[in-house]
Amino acid sequence: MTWLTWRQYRAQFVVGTAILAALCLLLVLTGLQLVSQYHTIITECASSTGNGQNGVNCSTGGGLFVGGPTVGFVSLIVLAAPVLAGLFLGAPMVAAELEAGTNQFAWMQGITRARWLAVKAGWLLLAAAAWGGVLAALTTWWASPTNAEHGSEFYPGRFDVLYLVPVAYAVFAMALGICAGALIRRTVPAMAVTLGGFIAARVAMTLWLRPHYLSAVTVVGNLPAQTRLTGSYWLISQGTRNPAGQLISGGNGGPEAFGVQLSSLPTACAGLANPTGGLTSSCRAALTGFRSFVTYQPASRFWAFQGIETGVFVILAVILLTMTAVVLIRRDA
Amino acid sequence: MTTVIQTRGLVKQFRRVTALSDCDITVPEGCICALIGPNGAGKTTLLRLLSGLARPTAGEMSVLGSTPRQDPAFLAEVGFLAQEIPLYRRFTAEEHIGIGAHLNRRWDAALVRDRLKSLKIPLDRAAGSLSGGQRAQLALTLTLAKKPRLVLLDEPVAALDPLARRHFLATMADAVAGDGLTVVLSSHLVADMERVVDHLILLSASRVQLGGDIDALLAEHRVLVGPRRDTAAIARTHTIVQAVHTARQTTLLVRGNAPVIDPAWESSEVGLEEMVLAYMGQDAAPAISDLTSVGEEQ
Amino acid sequence: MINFRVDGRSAVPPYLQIAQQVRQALRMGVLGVGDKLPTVREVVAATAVNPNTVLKAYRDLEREGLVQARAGHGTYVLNRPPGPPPGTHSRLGRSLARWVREAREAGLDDESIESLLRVTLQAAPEEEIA
Repeated sequence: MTWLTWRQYRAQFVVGTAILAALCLLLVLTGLQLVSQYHTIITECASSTGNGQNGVNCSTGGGLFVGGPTVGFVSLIVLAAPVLAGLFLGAPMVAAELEAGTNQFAWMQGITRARWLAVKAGWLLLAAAAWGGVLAALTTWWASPTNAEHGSEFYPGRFDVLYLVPVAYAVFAMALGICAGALIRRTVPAMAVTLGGFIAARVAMTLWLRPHYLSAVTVVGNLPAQTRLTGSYWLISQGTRNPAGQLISGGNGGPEAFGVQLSSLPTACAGLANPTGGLTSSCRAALTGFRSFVTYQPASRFWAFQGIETGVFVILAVILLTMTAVVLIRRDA
Repeated sequence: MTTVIQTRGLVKQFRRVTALSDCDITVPEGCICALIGPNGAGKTTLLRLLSGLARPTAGEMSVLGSTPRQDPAFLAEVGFLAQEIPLYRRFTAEEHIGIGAHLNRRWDAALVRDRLKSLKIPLDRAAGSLSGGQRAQLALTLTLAKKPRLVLLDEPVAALDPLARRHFLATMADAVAGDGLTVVLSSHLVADMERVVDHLILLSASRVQLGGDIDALLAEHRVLVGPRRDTAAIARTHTIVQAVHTARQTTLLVRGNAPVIDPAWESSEVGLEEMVLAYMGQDAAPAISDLTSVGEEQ
Repeated sequence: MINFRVDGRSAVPPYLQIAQQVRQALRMGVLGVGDKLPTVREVVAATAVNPNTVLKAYRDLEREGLVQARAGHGTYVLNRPPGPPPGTHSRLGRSLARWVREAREAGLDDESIESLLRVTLQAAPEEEIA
């Protein structure tokens, strides 16, 4: 059965390896660029604040690091990559055989459907894990300069491409593809469902569930003291409330202090609009009752979150594969 | 005589369609059994149930002494060839032989290679680029290579030219002669297979209309031709399978062993195709107003 | 070696056709006493008939005393069917061919020749008795 699996997927293996090699090349080339730029900035900016020599902007850590199109482009590719294996190998695994009717040939040879599924799916899942693992390892290396610069490891979009979770995503996508193919019995609709299901699951997890894996930490501070967090934490929300409990904010174009509109603060603090003016004692006293809060996931929880999310997707994969086995064995061929 | 297949009250229901209802069949060992019926009668459904690829809605089935199931012991003894000749289009004959060798306990690769060589079918060409007849022969030989005791073939010769058909049936009959195989093959045409089959199951409208040894069945049936008259007298001694009345003449196909006493009836033997058509036509509406077709349950 | 041909459209059942062809071969001298008949598998491979058909034909011939089945070795010719020696058949066949040529030259088509033959055959037993 392993022999048959290899013969059937020989061509896809070659193509997949080629695509993986191309992605790796992209990561390596851009990654080396990022590493060298990072070192340049470190050396240039170590000796001064503000602008360093050679026109390097030290305050933001270098133009290429902040929203650079290369980083964005590569990030997008590695975000999407895990689903490819499930889409092109997983969905057709059962569906193509059912469409061509060759399952009637395969399942009348001397093996059970359970063994047919186990061996074929086993190798494909292994391939998916390898695909995800290679990409994750290389992307983690590629992302290390920007992570060091911005502490962005934990952030959605960056968290998703590092260390363990891409492996789990790839395995999940493969399981989803196989299951969709077995249930829908036609390749193209199964591919559509795989893609849609993968996106839905990933979006739902990242936006709605991940913030709650472990209860977020909320730190409340009294203005003018503001909480300063360190390390690669994940900021979930932050804000300032006035003594009445209302949320006050900034960003409307007027003068600001402590990140909020000066107009929302007590008049005693109006002097803060002046850049040379400092914090007067009357202002300090007037600020009683004004609180700032930060809700975040501390950096120390990064690995716990990686583990939890990996676990969730692996469990989903197991559920999908179990469903597949039950459907294949009990349904008419 | 050992029975290779026995079913009782077999039913297969899909969501809106009843494909098989109340099927009782018996297939003895060593026979070549024709499963005849019009398109849509349920032949493919029955074969898929017998092979274990599908499960019945109700009823009992015994194939080679047990219920069809997905396990290597059963699969080693039962071969099935679907109508669309499902081979892997990209794989060559040699690769198909490899698949069989890896997945089956018993496998006679030399049988396949020898047979293909004698039929001049190339071993190294992709199955998708072989002709229909060559693909059918390859598929049949692969089905036979695991040395099963029972082979189920679904419309195997429908799409073949006469020469390919002849080769296919000869290969099949040879396997029966040599290995004591039992074969059930379905078709909607009788003429193709008449010379090679010795047992019959007739499916029409999802039911078994007729079943048994062909020579015995033909001996029991007769065509009676006489002047147009009422059939009540004959109906007392024989079962009327089909009655056709024109203005002057009545033609009956009857079943029964009793002698026909009335001298007005001219009795003659019936051929296989004629008998099968009579049973298949039982539910058909009359085409011409002057003719009446009466079908009665046997 | 005899080469069987089974006509699927003939009114004569296949097993009778095979038996008839064996008898004819014996009469014509194509098969002689002691010769081996083709095996069941050989006949099946050549004609695509049911193996039981061949077995039935050979059993009938064995019952008539013309052949004998030797377990494990095949079926062998035991006797020729009663009748004149092969030479007679060839001689009569040749004179029949001459007559047919004459009939065709006289303007008879095949159908007329066949019905003439049939009528003559039917009349013949009565003449023998007479």
